Amino acid sequence: MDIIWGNVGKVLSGNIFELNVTHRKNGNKKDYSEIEKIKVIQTDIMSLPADLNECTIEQLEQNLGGSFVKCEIKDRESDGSLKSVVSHSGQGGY
Amino acid sequence: MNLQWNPIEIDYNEIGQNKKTIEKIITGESPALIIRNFYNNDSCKTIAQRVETKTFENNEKIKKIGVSLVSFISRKSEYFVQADALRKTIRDLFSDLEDPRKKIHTALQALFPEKQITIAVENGKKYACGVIRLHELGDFASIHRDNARFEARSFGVSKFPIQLSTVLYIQQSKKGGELVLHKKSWKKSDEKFRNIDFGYSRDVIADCTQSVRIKPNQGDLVIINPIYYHEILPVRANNRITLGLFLAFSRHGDKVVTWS
Repeated sequence: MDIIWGNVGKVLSGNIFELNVTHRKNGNKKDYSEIEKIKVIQTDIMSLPADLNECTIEQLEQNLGGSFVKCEIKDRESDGSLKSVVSHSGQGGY
Repeated sequence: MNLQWNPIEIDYNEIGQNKKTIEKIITGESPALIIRNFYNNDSCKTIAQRVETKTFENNEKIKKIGVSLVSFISRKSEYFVQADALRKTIRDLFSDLEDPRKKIHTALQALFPEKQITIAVENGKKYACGVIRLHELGDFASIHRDNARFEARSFGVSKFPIQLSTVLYIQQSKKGGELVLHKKSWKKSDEKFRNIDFGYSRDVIADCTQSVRIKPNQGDLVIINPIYYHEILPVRANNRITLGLFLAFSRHGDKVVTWS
C-alpha cells in the first residue's frame, strides 16, 4: 500500500482536506504531487465522529488543522482525491 | 543588556528564595533552571541499578519505564489503563527510598506557593506520574519539543496554556548525552519539518541563533519550557537515566497539574 505523510492544509469538507506532502514511502507504486486532496475513509483521530459523513468542516479543521499525518492510500477517485486511512504519525516530542 | 542565554543554577536549599526564577523559564528569558543536589546521590545509584536490571521491550527506540502520554495520542483509554497498570512498577523502583516524584511535587509547591500541586485527573482517571528513560550507548533524541497543547488535544491537560518539563538526572553519562536547548519555540507552521517517527529535521532551527549545551550532574533537577526546541546528543559512555514529569497550569488557576 502506498503511504504519504504531510501536514493538513486547507480543509475542503467534513472528510476532505489538502495534504502538503512532505514524505513518501520508499517503494510507493505511484507518484504523488506536493499537494494532494485526501478523502478520509477511516481515521484514528478519536475526537472525530465515528461516522465521518457526520463530521463538519469545523470539526475536521479543529482536530486536524496543521497536523502532521500519515495517509495510507486505498485508491484515487475520478476527481483526483485519494481515498485514505488517516492517522497521527510519530511524535513531535515526548 | 545581557544577551547570553544561560541556565539559572541554584542549590536545592535555595529553592524557597527563587520563586521568581521560574518566570524566566516560562518566558524563555532563560533556557533552564538547574536545581543542584536535588536528590540524594546514593538513592540515584540504587535506582539506576534497579533500572539497569529491568527487562525492556524492544519496540521503543529509547527504553523507558512508565507511560508517556504522547505515545497514546490516539488511544486515550489505553493510556489511562497503562498508567494504572504501571504505577506499582514505578513505585517499586523507589521502594525504601525517598520517592523523587513526591520530592518534585514538594519543590513545585515551593516554586508555586499559591497553587495546589496534584497529579492530573480527568473524569476520575489519574494520569501517569513519571517516566524513566534509559539512553544507552549511541542513543540520542533528535530535535523536538514537548507540549501537549497541540499534539494531544483530546487530553484535558492540553487545555493548560503553560506547560513545563522537569527532568531528574538519576545517572549521567560520563561522555555525551548532553541536553542542547535552542532559543526557538515551536509554532504550528513548523509541522512541515516533522520527521516521520520522532521530532523535527534540523531545518526547523535554521534561523535559531542561540543554543546552549548543558550537562547536569547526577541528582540535579532541571526545569525547562519544552516548547523551545531541544535535543539530547548521543550517549558515548555509560547509560544516561532520567525521570521525567510534565507540569501545567494557567496564570489564574489555583492548580498545577503533573503527568507523564
